[in-house]
Amino acid sequence: MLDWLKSVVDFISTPSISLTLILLMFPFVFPPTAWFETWHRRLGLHNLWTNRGGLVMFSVITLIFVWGFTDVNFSKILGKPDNVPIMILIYSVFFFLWLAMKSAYENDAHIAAGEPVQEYYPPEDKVLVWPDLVYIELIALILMMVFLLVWSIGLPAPLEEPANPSLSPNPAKAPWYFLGLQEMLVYFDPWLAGVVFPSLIIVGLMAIPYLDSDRKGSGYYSFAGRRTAVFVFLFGWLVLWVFLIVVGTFFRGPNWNFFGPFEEWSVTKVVPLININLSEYVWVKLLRVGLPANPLVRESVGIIMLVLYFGLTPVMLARGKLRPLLDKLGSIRYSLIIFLALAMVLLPIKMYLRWTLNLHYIISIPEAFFNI
Amino acid sequence: MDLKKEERYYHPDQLHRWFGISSIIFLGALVAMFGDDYIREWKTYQREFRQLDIDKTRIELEAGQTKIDSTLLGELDAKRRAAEAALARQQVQLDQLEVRIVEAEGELHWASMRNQENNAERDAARYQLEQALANRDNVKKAQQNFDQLTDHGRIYKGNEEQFQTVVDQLKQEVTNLGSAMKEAEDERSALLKSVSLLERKLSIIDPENMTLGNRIADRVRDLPVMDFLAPSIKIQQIIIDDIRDDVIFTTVPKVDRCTSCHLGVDKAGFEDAPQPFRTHPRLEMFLASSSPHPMEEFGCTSCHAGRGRGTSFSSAGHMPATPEQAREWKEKYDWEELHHWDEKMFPAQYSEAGCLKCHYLEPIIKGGDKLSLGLTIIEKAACFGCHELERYAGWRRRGPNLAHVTDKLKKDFAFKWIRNPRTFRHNAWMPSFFAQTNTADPASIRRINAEIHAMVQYLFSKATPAVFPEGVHLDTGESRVGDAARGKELAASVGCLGCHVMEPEPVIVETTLDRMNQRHGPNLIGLGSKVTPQWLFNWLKDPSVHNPYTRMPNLRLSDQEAADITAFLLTMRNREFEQTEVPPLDVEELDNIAIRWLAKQNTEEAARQQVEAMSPDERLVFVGQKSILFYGCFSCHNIPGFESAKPIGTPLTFEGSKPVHNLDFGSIHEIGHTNYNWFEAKLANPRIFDRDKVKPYDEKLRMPNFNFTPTEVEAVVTALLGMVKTDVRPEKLANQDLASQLVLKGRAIIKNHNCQGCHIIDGQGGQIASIIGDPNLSPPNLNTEGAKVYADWLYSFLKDPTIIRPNLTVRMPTFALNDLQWNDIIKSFQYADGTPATFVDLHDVDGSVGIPVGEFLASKEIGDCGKCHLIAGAKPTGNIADWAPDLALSRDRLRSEWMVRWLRDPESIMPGTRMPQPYIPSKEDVDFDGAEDFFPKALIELAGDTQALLETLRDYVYSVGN
Repeated sequence: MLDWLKSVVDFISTPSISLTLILLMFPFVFPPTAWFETWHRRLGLHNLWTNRGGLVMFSVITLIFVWGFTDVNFSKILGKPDNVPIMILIYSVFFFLWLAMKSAYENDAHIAAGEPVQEYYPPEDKVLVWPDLVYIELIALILMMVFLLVWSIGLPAPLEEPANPSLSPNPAKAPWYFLGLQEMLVYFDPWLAGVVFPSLIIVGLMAIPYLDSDRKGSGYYSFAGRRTAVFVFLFGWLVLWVFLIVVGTFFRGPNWNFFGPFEEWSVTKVVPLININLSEYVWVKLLRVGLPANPLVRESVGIIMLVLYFGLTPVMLARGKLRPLLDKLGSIRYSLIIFLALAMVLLPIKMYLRWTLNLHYIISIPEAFFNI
Repeated sequence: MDLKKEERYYHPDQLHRWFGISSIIFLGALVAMFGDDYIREWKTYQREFRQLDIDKTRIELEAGQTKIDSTLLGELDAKRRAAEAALARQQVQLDQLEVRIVEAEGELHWASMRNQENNAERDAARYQLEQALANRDNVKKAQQNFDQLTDHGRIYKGNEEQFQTVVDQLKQEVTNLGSAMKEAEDERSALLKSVSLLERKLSIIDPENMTLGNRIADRVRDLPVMDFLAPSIKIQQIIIDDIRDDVIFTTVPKVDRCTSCHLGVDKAGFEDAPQPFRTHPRLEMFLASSSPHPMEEFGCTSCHAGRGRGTSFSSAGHMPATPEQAREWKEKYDWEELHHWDEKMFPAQYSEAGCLKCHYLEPIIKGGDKLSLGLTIIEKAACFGCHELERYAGWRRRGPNLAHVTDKLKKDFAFKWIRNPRTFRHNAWMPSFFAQTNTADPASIRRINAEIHAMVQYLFSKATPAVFPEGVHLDTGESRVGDAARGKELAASVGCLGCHVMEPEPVIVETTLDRMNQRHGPNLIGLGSKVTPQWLFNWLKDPSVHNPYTRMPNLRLSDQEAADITAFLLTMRNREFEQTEVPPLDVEELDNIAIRWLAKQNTEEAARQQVEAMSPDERLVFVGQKSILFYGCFSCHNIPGFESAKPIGTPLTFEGSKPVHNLDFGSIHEIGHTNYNWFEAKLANPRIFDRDKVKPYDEKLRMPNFNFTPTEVEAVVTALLGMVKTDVRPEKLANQDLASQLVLKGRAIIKNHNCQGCHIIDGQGGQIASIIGDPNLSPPNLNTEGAKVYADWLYSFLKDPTIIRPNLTVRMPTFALNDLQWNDIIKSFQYADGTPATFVDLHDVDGSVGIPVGEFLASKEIGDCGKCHLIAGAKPTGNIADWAPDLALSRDRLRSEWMVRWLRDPESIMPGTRMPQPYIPSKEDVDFDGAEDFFPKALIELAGDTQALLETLRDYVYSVGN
């Protein structure tokens, strides 16, 4: 029974399955529209953001870890001193998400009832930086030092043998905070996953205050007023960053192969490598003619598709559902937001294309080291 | 600060409280951090060892005190008291002397100061004079000044010396007065010397024997923070500059901190102490400052490996010898394997592996029996045939020459032998290639049978009859089969058993170096089922005809003798083996194999056509050739067509340094994840790592199974672990001097040709004596051979052995070595015994006046040399078993200095020899009335001078027959 359960967990953990499940659940947990909101309430998911809900989620996570420690293979991953930050990450992300959502829901209730939000401090909604803020920060600082000291005493930093350039560790993993980027490398070329996307993430995050001038929810937690914005942000943060870090840490083993948490990390595991490019799909599989010699002709389908993706989608959306957004933000802000969002969504799209169609590259011009 | 209450969100008191609490927790964490840093495993061990040392010293002290002769001590005490009393009576005189000394010293001090000041001024004046001379300016004045100061200096120095003399005289007087007292004191402390040393030691280490101040200091110096000054508990480390650790981008000197816990390892007296304090078990060989490997020069990890800088049980890289020990360590020391370190410590059973990296030139490493055995097995099993091993570069193929196999074997035998040599000979050295754990399935067996047929066909079709030297055909037809009974005697006596055993049934014998000597050649059983009589006869007569590189020597058998031994060896047959059926050739499988080989470079259809174009015989030969290449038969055997084929195995030169993750454990999880666990498993079953693997036949593991016993596996693993890449500077390596290298070069040939099967060399070998039964009838011990015989005599003897001991039936064979090799062997003996000169004059005895004296000493009445020795061909009078070499052979053979050495004490050179020490008369022996009537006059004159008399004996021996 337990073994069966383990194999189920291993199966569910496969990125294609787990990402699909998360994507399906996500709008119901963080409803971006009124329709989802209705179902969110109907399914009782709003109870997650209460003390009881928090306790249940905390228990579930803890139970999974406790179960993991009883397993030979999972405990090897969990017990690694390097992976302790990931455990802390999981707990802290969950805790602060829960805290923020709980406060938001309570505030939403206050606002609905016409009362001031919890963060409001009468009479002028103002407290002093000194001593209130700085004093608390000092105390937090001391406690953080205590935590770091105890951690370093309890789990000494794992020192390894002298580095040897001729012997790479297998798997060779980036520091935990970069594992999301490393996971992206599975699906994109280094120049995209290592340079363009991280730059877009940073620039995009920096641009948010300039693109989104809506002052609703400023200074207090709220969900109802900004549901779409919060949904989009949480999707990027939780799914495309934290989830990828967890996958990279727990589920990627030797040769960067995927392993379920209860699966043994075997160096000799072999998975079929049958990825092919879009051009091969079109010219070889569909049209049964050889690949054209000219790279531009060869890759024309991919190029057209990407141009349409980034060029046509914003226009179509502006004509349809997102008309109000365009009106509100103006064309420049609208275009930037849509471009960033489309770039973000490109990652899961490419992942799915890889899993379902074994698509290697949409555009593949190795002659110019240009692959997307 | 005046704050409006409503502007504060938190209550200040509450914040203060939180600040207080968190600060206290923080302080606690800081204390914990200091504690964590301060409390170390090795500190506990140092405290324990100190207590152990105190206890031991106390016991020694007590023992020492009881050992002291108390009456003698009483006497000495009384003597001292008497001297003390005498001195007291002269107290007045003493006091006066003291006063005078003080006065004189005062004067001396003043005089010496004045002298020094003057000297300083004179030096300055010298400088000014030199300046003046250089500038030609005021020279006169400067000269005057300098001369004056120089004159003063002479006077002052005189004064100083005068006062010094006075002081010395006075002090001497005081000393004289106290001399009796000092003498008594000295005698007393000489008696108490050992005890007072121990007392002094205790006063340093034992708190109970310390002054109060020292006791407090002893505590304080090891307190946290204070311990940076001069702690008694501190890391002990040995830094070795010329043995270096590789840290990839550079090398660093070895730093060994092992002695921080292993505190008694270099000190005698802790042999029974618990670990980690126990004394090294071979202190005379290691660690002691008088040993060849002093601790300060070699440290610990140079030999044992491990992480020298580690200061805890696990971080030092300790590795358990057995799973039981691992469990015990886990419980006792919280041990866990140090994963991130390539050179973990050798577990106890493999500690000899550390010797090889410095002693790699030695064919047999003295004191490293297991390692030497491992190397010997590697040589015997010819691992270097398939696996490149630098130390065996240039060695010849070890197996029989198959170029003339048709002379020797029948096809049926060859088939069955190749299929599994052990069905014919239970302890064959040829390994088993087929039907191993990964090839025992029916499909593999089918392929194997076809392949063996093909290989046999290849060998028999390519073999040619041996070519005998011009005009000689050794096969003597009828006479080649002689008298088996006589052959049996001969085989037992001429020396076959120096290298061969005859063991029809398996015997349980632990593999040792001696056993390896015994099994140098194949076990001589079942030959009647194997070889043709012609071949065996010819082989015995001259092995080099069939194999120019064979190590089997020529015993110079007569035709009759060879025929007799042939007859005897052919009587031994293996009926069971003879009756085993050879399966018929599966032609379809053969074709399939041929197609699969060809399809590797061609399309399958083309391959099929190619095979179809071949005749059945061609198909066999083609597959045979492919199979021989695939299995690497040519690694050990000379096979026509494979003369220059390259070895097929992994190079093993640095196998001990191979990272563990480069070893494929496959699905074998039940063994430890270390290189030696992998080697052990691989050697015990070379195909084990194919378990649960799905592979095409030609990708399967194909190392053959040598059927090693656990002892053999352990020995070979020891050797493999020793084959490491290291950075030991040449000055630390063993045998870097020319003399040692010359010794070892010859020793390698000696080992390779199994001279130690018959002779004892370096205290090793000579096992044939146990078969002959009487060491005196066995080949001689070659101790001091280099000092014993003349190099040119040895050369001619080795090239063409002559009979020295006519009573021996065992023969010195003729080895087909070349002159360079003979020279290496001779030099090896010479350098080993410190007599490197090759060209020396024979000792001249012409006109030696000692000869008659020697003759008298050797005469029947005195020494009776003729009882055992032949004298110029005259047969000895004694028992034939006691016969000894003809004295007439001595002059051209034995070095003159060695002869004297030998006559002085034969037992020390050849333990167990029957040669007695000759009688050498002493002065007393000839000191009686009428001695002149009995002893020659010259002898009486020399009596008592052993050297001279031994020389007369030697000169006599040298004169025999000349």
